[in-house]
Amino acid sequence: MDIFEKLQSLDRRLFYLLMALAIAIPIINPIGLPIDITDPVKKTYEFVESLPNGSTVVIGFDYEPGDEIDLSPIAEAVLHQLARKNIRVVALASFPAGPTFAEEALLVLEEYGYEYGKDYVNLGHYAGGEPTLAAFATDPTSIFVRDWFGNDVSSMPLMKELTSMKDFSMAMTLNDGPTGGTGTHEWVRQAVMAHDVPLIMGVTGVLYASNQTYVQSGQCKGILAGLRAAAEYEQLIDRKGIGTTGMDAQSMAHILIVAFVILGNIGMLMSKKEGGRPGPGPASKPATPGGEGK
Amino acid sequence: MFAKRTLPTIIAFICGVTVVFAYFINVPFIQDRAQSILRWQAVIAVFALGLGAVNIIRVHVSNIQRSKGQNFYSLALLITFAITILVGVFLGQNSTAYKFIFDYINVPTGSAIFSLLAFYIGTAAYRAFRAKNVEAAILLLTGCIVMLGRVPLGAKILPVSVPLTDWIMSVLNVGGQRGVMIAGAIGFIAVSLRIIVGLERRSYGGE
Repeated sequence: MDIFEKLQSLDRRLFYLLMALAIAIPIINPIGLPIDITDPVKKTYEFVESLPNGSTVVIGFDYEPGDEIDLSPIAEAVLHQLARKNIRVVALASFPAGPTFAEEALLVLEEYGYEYGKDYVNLGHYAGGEPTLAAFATDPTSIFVRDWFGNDVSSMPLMKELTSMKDFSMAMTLNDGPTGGTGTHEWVRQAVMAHDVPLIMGVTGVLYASNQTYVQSGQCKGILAGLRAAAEYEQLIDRKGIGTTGMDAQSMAHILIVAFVILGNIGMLMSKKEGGRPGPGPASKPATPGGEGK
Repeated sequence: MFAKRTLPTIIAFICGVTVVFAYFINVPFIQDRAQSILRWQAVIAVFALGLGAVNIIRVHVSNIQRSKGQNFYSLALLITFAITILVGVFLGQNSTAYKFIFDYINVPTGSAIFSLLAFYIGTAAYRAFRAKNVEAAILLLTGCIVMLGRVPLGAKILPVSVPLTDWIMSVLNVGGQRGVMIAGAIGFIAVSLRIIVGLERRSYGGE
């Protein structure tokens, strides 16, 4: 086997090792690569900045533990901006894990002297997806009788002021997809279409593609996709966090994948040129977990 | 027959028509009825969660019985399931023990499983992205441009990847996504109408 054939079938364990190093080293020892602010993030920031001071927003923590690293940094960055504008926050979640993520993220507000029940509320989890969100949008207190901590919702000053979704100056969903919870499409239908409340989304990187349609149609006022968006937002609010640190690792991981793809193609093209046979492709070595050969 | 087919069809018809009308027409009487139906739905959904839990227990107990106690993973699932439920019910979701389970078991395992994708997708890309023909070359090129354009270091190495990524995502991608979404929505409306009028037998447990 010559060098070009070897390039086409590099040992996957070598890739795993390099990938682990490419992710771990920048996290342990951040490089601090400069991050440019992209248009979607800038527009989202500007939209949140345009909200009236002291108004109220609703945030859906619609994600599971697997996507926490993508979405919790977005939540915290946006909450810092909201707190600087004295905007009150109502949090709810369509996944059972959501209220705990909300609880951790909402700690940001306590740094700014927010008072629970008066300035922010964590309503907890609701079952039933879109229909339950529709009921909440029509009458917020009809679905949540008690909050995440077991307090009576109707006695909270913040909740007393809310009669429908229209009382919110903005809705936001931190979303990793509709499976098992309320997806971004459902939020568009219930917040934007039914009640004309502006919506912004914080989504995982893979959901960026499908939700771009709502941004272009104007149904979504802003979109923050993945760790990259969190890193950019942290720059805009001038407060570095896990988003900024994580981007170094993500940069290295992407470059490593592209480098391996280029090596594989060089090997294939050079083998063809020399009259050799193209190496094993996806058909002979499936890349699914547990399905690969050594 | 009445209890299995006719009654559920009547209930589905009344609920479906009421909620759909309430979305488009602002009549207080219909709005109130629709709101009641939606609240009922939330309660039923909670029962569905409980039903799901019972189903998980049945499936894994059956796994253990069939494998004569050798099915380690089913046993592990049942034990952790029981511990989490007991801690949540008796100590509360805000107790230190429940938070320990969430912060040090649930979140790390969830993140670890998800992060394995970086390794598997990486090797999958290495093996699948080969320019064997024009279509494969286009896929390979598009994938590499987007991967570079989405990270700061990639943008420094190949600055043109940023505007190209924006164009791919906002023109090519959105065009395709719109088509899929509109087609999906039309299909969704058709299926919903069939369920409301009782033509979709599978929704009522039929074949």
